[in-house]
Amino acid sequence: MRVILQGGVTPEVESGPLAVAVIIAYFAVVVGIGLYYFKRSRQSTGDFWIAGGQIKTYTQVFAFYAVLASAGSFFGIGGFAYAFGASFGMLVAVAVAAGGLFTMIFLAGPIRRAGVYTVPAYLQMRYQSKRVRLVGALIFAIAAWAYMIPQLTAGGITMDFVLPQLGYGLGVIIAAIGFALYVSLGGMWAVTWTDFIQGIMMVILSVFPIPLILLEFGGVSGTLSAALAANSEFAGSNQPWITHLGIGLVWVLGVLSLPQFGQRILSSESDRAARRGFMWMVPLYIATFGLSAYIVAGAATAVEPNLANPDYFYYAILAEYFGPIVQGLGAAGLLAAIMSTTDALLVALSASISHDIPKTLEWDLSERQELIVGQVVIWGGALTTALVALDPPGLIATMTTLVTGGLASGLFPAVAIGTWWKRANEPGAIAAMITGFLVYGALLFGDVMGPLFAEALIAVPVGIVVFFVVSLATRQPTGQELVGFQTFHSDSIVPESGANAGVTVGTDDD
Amino acid sequence: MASGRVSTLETTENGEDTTRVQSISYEDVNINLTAGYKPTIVISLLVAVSFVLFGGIMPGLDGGGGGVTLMTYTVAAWGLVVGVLGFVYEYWIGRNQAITGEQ
Repeated sequence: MRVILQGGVTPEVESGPLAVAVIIAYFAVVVGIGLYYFKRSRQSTGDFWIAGGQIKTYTQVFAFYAVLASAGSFFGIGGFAYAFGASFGMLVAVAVAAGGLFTMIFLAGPIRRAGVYTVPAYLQMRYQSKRVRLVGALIFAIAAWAYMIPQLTAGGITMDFVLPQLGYGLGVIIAAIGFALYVSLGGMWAVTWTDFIQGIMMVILSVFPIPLILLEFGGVSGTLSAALAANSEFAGSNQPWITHLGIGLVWVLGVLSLPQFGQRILSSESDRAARRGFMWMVPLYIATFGLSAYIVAGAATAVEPNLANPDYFYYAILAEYFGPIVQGLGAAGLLAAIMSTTDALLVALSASISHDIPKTLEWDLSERQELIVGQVVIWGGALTTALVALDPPGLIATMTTLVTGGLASGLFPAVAIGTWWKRANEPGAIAAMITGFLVYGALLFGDVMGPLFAEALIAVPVGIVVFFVVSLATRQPTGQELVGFQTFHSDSIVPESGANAGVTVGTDDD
Repeated sequence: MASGRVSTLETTENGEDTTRVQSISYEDVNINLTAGYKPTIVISLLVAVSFVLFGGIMPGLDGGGGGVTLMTYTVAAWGLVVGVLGFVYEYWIGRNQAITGEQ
C-alpha cells in the first residue's frame, strides 16, 4: 500500500524564519481562542462536548467544511489527482461531498433532534440498547484514532516544508502537542470558532493560487495541456473501474459515520441550521477541491512531475510561484485543515472513551471525573497516533479512505438505515456493525482484494444484508423500544438549553 | 401518534436521569407522513443513481486512459447534480413543513 515515491523532489520554503513567523502568529490566534473559551467550556459537559447546541447556520457552513476538508481533502484530493489523474481526484471530491449530502438528508435533523452528545449515544437512543452503544463507541474510538494518523502525517509534511532542518518526525510531534493543547483547553467551543476561521481560510487558500496559475499557463485549457504534456494520463484516471466504484461507495456512505461529524451536528442551534450548514457546504466543497484537482494539481504536474510524494503538490506550487509570507500562509492554511479535523477527532475519541463507554458499563463518573478522563484520552490519543505517523503507512487520502471504508461497512446500516426503518432492532444493529466491520478488516488486512479500495464493495452490502435479515428474523421492536426513533422524527422538539443534553418531546401533534 | 412525553438517555446537569418512557405500540409509530420522509428517499436514490451513472457506467464505457476523457466530463456533471440536490432537498422539506404546519 505504500505509494510514497523515493528519490523525487521535495519542495522547500524560500525563507524558513518568515514562514515560521506567519505560522506562529496563526497558532497564537487559535490557542488564544482556546484560552478565551477555557472557562466557558468548563461550565458543563454539554458546553465542552457540543458548545451548548447554540451554533448558527453561517458558522456551521464553514465549520462543516473545515471538519470535512481534512488533510485527506487538502493534500489528498490533489495528491490523488497528481498520482492517479484529475478525474479520479474530482470523483473523490464529489463522492465526499455526496457523503455530506447523505449526512444532511439521513442524519442532520434526527441527530440534532436527539439532543445527545455523541453518535454512540444516538445509537443507544435509537435501539434502546446499551450494547449497541458499546459496539458503536468501540468502532468510533478505533476509527477516530486511526483517522488522526493521516492528519498528523500531513502535519509532519508541512513542518518538513517550512523547516526542513527539523525534519518530518519532529514536525509530527510538534503538531500532535499543539493540537492536543488547545482542544484540551477549549473543548467544542474553541473547536467551533477555530473551525469557522479555518474553514474560511481553507476556502481562500485552496483557490488563491488559481488566478496566478491560469495567467501563467493561459487559462484552463493551457493548464491542462501543460499537465498532459508532462503526464498524458493526467486529465483522466489511471485506476480501474472497480476502484472508482469502491472509493465512491466508501465516501458516499462513510461520511455520515465519520466520528468528527456527530458532535458538530449536535452543536447546531436547530435541525434546520444543521441541514442548511450542509446544504451550502456541499457545493463549496465540490467547487474548491474540484478546482484544486484540475488546476492546482495540474500546474504541479507541469511544474514538477517528479515529486517525492504526490501529497506535496500544493507546496510545489507555493514554492514555484510565491514568496515566503504566502508560503507561510499556505502552510498555516494546511495546518488549519489538519487541525480542524484532528481537533474534532480528538473530541470524538475523548467523548467515546470518557462518556459513552463508562455510561454503557454503568460506571458512575461525575462530570469532573469525565472531563479529567477526557483530557487524558486527548493527550494519549494525540501522542500514540503521532508515533504511528512517524512512519506513515501510505498516502494521506489512501489512509483516510481506508478508515472511512471501515466506518461505512460497520456503521452505515445501523446509523443511517436504522434512523429511517422502524423495523430495525437491537440484534440487527449489533450483527450488522460487528459483521460489516470485521469483514472489512479481514478483506483489508488479509489483502484479499486486488484493486485499491474495493473492500467496501463486499463489506458494505454484507453489513446491509445482515442488518435486514437479522432484524426481520428476530422480534419486531416494541413501541417502548421505538421511543428514540419517534423522537428523531418529531418536529415538536424543544431542546433544553446549554448543558442539558436531554430533550423533552411532546408527541401529540405528530 | 400516542400522546406522552419522552426524553433522551442523557442526564441533566445536576445528574438527574431524564429518561421517562411513554407507553406506545409498534403500530403507533409512523414516520411516512413526516416532512422529511419522501425527500430523503427520493434524493438519496437520485444520488445513488447519479453516482452509478456518472461515476461508474459512463466512465467505464469510456475505459479511462489518457487525454481528456469522458470521465473528465461525467464527474463534473455528477458534482453539479450533487451540489443542486441539497438545495432541492431543503426546498422540498421546507415546502412540506409549510403545508403541514411543522416547525
